[in-house]
Amino acid sequence: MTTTPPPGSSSGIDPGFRAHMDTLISEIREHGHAVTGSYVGRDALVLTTTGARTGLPRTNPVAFTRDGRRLIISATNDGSDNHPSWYPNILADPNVTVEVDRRRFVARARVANGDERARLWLRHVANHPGLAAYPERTSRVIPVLVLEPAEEG
Amino acid sequence: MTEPSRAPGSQAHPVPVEPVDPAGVLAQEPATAPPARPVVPRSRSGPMQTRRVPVFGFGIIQYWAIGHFRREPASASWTPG
Repeated sequence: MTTTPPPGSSSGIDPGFRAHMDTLISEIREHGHAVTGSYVGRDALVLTTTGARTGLPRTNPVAFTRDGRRLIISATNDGSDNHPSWYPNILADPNVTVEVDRRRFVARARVANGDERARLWLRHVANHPGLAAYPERTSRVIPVLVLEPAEEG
Repeated sequence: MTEPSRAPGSQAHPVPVEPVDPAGVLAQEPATAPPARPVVPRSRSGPMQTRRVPVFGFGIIQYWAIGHFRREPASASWTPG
């Protein structure tokens, strides 16, 4: 039985899945949201981090939920036991670039903890019901992050 | 005048001689049409022998390309993150 490597895992990304994510990124950049596939009409942004090892920009589509001016995201990696590749990048350098609603701006990411995490997670799951199944698939605590815009672009 | 005597059984008239062919036309090979191709009835199973190779080649391309086309996650609840 073959298994598809989870996106962003160290074992590499399945080319077909990478193509899917690249399409989603292109659509978010062009239309402000997904226009094809299962994520049409859902809140998704393009997150660009700096590779912790390479220093190169790394771009991924990430589901988000609005919380005032802040944006909530979570490092789900499809419920895998490994964090997505962009998560350690943020720990190394929290300065990220966000593209959403045809806007591009620099933001600072921080990991939510305690009550704030619990509150933001519930809010995030309410916006993206598919997230509810992820904690059951993995033993790790799925990180919840807050993106605070540093400047408007 | 007496007719020269002939041996018994000899022909009374000379044997006809084929006409001379000064231009050599008759000596040439007659032009012949190329042999007609055997008529093969059209059927779905008939041409398979000749198509087998291209189909196999296309299969390789298909196998390679499938991995590079967009493929959504199997999980319907997939959420990017």
